[in-house]
Amino acid sequence: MMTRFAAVALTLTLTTEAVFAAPPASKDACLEQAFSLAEKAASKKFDTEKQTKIEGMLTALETKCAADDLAGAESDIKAIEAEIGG
Amino acid sequence: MKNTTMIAAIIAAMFAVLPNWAMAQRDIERFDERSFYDDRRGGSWNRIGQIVVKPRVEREIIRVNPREDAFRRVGVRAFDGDVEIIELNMRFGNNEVERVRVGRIVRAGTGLPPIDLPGRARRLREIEVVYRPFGPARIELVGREGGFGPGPGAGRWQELGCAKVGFLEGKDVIRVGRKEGAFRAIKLSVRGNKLRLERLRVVYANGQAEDLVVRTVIPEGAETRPIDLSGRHRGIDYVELRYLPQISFGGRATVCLSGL
Repeated sequence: MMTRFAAVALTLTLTTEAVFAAPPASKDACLEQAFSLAEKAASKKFDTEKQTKIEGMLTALETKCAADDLAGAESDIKAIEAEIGG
Repeated sequence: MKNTTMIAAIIAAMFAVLPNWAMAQRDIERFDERSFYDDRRGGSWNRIGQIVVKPRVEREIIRVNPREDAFRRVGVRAFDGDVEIIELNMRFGNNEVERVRVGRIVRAGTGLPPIDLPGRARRLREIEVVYRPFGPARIELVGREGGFGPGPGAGRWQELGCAKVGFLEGKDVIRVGRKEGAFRAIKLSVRGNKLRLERLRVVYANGQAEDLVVRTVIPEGAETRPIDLSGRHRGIDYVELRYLPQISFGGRATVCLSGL
């Protein structure tokens, strides 16, 4: 029984991670993700220096999204998430 | 003497009547009604209302169902008898009145050539019909919807207004109001900077509102996809934009609203 629970939990973890790790599926999804990150950053009330830094990163991400560079956008998303933090 | 007077009176009466009769004949519509009213290209004819004519010159108001779509053209048809349509006074959704002098006799079973409404497709509030009957008859008013925009330019996007969006407010309004017309879709274009648009609130001419969640970034120089409005054609009073204020300064974006 415990083995089954562990297997389900492991599958879920791997699936979830795979979904979030994947590059955005489309230009629209990418821009939507950029919006969510900007929203998250805005809610954090960072100091001006950090705001400016994140804004620059977001702008770079949005440019990649607009240019359909989804693979490039993926790494930017990870970097911004790390910068913003949990 | 008596006979001479009578003949003179008859001749005088003929001269008085003939020009009017000739004019009436000239004004009778001879157009091929089917080519107008059965033409289904670019919209359909909807019945707006009907008047049962009274035995003397009358003016009667037909109120247009507020749920009706906006119309681009209005048609008048006569049934069961001839009737002279003297004029039509059309009151639009914004209370503007358009007076159309007609002065034509419409034979039973025929109609006037459709009357193009000024501007784009417009929402009608009421139509006053001034008519002169020749006997029992019915007047039917029909409206043709569809074909947004002026006839030849139908289906083209039209810029309705722009706003410079601020940094801190997170909310701006683009007023459309007096730019009369009805639309089935809108889109936004952005220049000067990007816009992180959260949602739109479209307030229609009748006061109803529609909230549209967008949650996307519109890059500088780009535009949104067409956003369909509920219903087919709707007059817009204003559009409220809710957006994320910029985290840091980068210049204000100018957002322009277009309607189709």
